[in-house]
Amino acid sequence: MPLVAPTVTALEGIFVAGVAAGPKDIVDTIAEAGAAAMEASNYLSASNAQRAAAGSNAPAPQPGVNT
Amino acid sequence: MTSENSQAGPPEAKVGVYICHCGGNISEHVDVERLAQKVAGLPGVVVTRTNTFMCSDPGQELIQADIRDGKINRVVVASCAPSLHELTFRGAIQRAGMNPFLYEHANIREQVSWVHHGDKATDKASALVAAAIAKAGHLESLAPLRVEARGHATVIGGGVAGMRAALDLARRGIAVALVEKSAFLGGRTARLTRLYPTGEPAEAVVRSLAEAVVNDPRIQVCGCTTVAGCEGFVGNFTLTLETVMPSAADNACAPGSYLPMAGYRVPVPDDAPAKTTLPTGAIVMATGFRPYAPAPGEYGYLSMPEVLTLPELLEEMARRPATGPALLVRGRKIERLAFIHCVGSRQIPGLHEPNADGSLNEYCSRTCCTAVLRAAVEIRETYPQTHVLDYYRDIRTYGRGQEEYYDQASRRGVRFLRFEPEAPPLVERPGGGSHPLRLRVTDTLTFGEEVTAAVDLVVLAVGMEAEPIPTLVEMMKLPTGMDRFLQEVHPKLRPVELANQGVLLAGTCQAPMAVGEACTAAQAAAVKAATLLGKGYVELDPYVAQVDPARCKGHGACVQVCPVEHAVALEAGVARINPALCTGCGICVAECPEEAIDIKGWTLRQYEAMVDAIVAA
Repeated sequence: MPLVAPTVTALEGIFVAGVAAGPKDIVDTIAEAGAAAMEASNYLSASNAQRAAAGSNAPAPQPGVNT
Repeated sequence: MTSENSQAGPPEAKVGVYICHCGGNISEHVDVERLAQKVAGLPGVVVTRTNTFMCSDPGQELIQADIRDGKINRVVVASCAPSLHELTFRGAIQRAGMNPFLYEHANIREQVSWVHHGDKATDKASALVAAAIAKAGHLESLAPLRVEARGHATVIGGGVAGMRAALDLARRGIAVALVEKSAFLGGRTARLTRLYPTGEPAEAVVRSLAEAVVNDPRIQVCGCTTVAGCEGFVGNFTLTLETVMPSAADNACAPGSYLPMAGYRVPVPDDAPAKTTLPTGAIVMATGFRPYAPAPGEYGYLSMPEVLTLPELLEEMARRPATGPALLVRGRKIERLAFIHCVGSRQIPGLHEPNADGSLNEYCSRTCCTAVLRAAVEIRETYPQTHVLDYYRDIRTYGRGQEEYYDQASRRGVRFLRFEPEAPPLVERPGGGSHPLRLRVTDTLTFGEEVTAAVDLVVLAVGMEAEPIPTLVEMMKLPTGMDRFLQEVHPKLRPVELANQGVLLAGTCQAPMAVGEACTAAQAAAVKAATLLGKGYVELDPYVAQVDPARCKGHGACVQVCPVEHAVALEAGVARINPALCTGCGICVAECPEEAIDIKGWTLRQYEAMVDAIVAA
């Protein structure tokens, strides 16, 4: 999990939020849920954009700061 | 319990009343069944039901079934404060096909069962529910106000949270202005060395974010820039930005390069206008924190040169990398170093000296325990001849991967001493001896033994304070808490939103956070801003003033008293409201000599009905 994208996991397209990623309170859990939603939606739109540009079956881009 | 009233009131109003036990929170003090019987016979009431948790799915389904069956066309729920569940019930009503504004909420928990007991509680609840029923009879269908939203967001503050939010907004296709008052991106993180719990160098983290921000064509980075004006409303703000030229010291670092302990230097064009206006749809506050500055003499700070804060020690260590087996600070060999925790955090009224404005930092700053232990481990690993003592009140290494630092520090020989807040360690300069400072403490780990230790350096683990932003707070009317951090709408349900619609919170302007937590908060803020702007319009509550043009005689009293510029104006002798600007405060309603103004959803007629019902109850 990168420090600046704590909801990104080592598995592409899988994001983690809340106490599944360690003990935390409700406040941090809700914030993390928002962050995971952000990563997931960015992942989907980046994948779609890349597929549209490269034709079919192009690999999805790596999430994080460089996309 | 359920009752159906055959004696319905006026044909247009068929009120369903739903009373919540709140799992005993209400029903242990309010006789819910007696309350239901009392209100079941009131005019207009056709259905009365009670439930253990009205906000639960089965509770909401009770309401929805009555709507679908055509039994009711007005809903009253008596439960907790409307701030918690009014929107829950309005949503349930809307999903059942009814206008969500044909709803009235009675608060019988915070305003009744939590403060009154016995018959008085039930009597007061009856009066409040009767008033809600009376108002419900006069409710009208309303439509939320829809205003256009610009597909542009502004992030104030170029630290990690600000950069993280800007990148995420840009990735959602939203144009972003990132406003940073200094010439550097990276904020306070750029002044750290390694970041827990991953151990990544702060420089690498700041650099990768800053380079991504600067290279993103959708992000406009405004360095050396402050926000000097803010007008408008959600979806349609206009900011005034003021830009100054970088200082000579800033110019010693070329744009695009990284200056240790400062951050990533952003380019500021020579022809950047001093003042610009910026139309924007949403604002993300990422104004950050500052470290607590100990009072002169607090643990010897400033009066003894061997006393530093943790940020000062980290800077010393970064500037002078290891050359031998002992830590050198300002040319002195440090054989024994003592950390003191909770400096400027967890302050106790009557025990700690207040800040200049009379405030105390009563909160825990969260990050200092792990930051101290990470630094202690690094010192023990890098400088085996430097011994570390750790004076703490409590160790709070609360997150994933943080307890390991405590474990490592223990294994690497860090000596822990625990003090009570009433008896903090005394820092003295005894004169003579091989070490300049002496610490005395009553150690509760050894059951109150007086422990004296000679040391070369004392390092204060200072807490976080909100970076003071009085101009922005005043100008944008931002809510702040007693702790002087910006205050979210609801700590659990809406943690990154401010009461000001369209203004969001990212990072340590809200509360002490570590870098990872600040990034999480920034992403949550960005997702809220992106959702808000993504549709191209925003919907606002319709609780705004409306003028009856037939009654308005153009006195203009409303224009005189309105606290919001341009919210009401006279046009052709008649008052006209700008609903996007009107806050629904109701001052004009009280002032209008013709009673020509009403607040939608809170009309004079509705108030009269409520008062009559309370008097009759």
